[in-house]
Amino acid sequence: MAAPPTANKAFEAAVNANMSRLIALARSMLGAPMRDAKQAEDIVQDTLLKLFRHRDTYDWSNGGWSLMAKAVARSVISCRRRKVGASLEADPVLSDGLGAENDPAAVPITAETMQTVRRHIEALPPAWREALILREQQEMGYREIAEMLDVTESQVKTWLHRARVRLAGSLREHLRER
Amino acid sequence: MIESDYMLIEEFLDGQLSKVQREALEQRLTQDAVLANALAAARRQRQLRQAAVELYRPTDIEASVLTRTTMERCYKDEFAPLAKLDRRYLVLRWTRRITAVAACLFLAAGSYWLGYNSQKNPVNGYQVIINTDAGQTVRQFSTLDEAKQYANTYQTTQMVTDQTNGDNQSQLSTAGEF
Repeated sequence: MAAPPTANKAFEAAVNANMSRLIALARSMLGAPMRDAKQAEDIVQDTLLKLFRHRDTYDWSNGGWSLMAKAVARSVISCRRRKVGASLEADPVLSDGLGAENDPAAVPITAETMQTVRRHIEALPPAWREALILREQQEMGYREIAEMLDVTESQVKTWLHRARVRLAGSLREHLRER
Repeated sequence: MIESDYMLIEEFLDGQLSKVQREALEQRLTQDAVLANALAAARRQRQLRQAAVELYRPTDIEASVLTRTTMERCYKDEFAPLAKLDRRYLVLRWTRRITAVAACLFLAAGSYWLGYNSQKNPVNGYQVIINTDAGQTVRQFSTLDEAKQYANTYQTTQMVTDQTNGDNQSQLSTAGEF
């Protein structure tokens, strides 16, 4: 049975409003915007197609961002798991602390700095990167992230901490080399 | 500063501390300048990461094209089952036609074969041919006695034909003479 026209309109409006952010989310979680840009787009399209099939069962009154973002995040995670298996290994190497005395962000934010940060985010282990994006971009709680990644909350906390420490260390090194 | 303090700061910024933990940290921040600086640094680094992730956003034109192609895919997918139904209906229609033609051919061949066989091998038994003013009536009987009994009931000229083994020997009589 075809969905009511209002559901079609609401879905279209949600896609129109959120496409850019959804692509950004998929790319940042995949961490490969240049290497495999099409993959992120395909994942977003496939996810939206699945949502479209059940569009009349969802509530689109709030713009649909939360629903779509979670669906895309789940698709990215399952896509990564299919490719590399379910191993979510953690990197044992940790940089030094994040002290204010070593604050790499205490420099003017330039396009080059942001590109560097982005490259370092891409270089993070997939699970760390996903946890970081879901927390800082999607503002998901630890529990929600843990459920999505199928790990414990303390594991999520550890990954987030390690990712942040490593990014700070990488940026510090980059600024030192300049 | 110890690592657990950094993690505490991160959880504070992530909004994941309980009310008691948050109030305890806020109390410490008013008294510990190093901790306060670390918090400010963590905030700046977070902003930098969030700004860097924004680089993953596609251009407006890219987003617009993706939105259009996504909606096209969605609607195409929705009508795909109908096209499949059409194909099924077409197959069914042709199957019916072919079955009907095959049945006709079978019946025609069967009729021809039966006719040919009946000419070649006439039915065993006795045939009574009754000639009346109204015309000719033909009846089949398996025995000669039955044929004669039937023929005797008529007042006009009758003919009893022995068809056994295709002999076609006839006996002609007037009424009641058998």
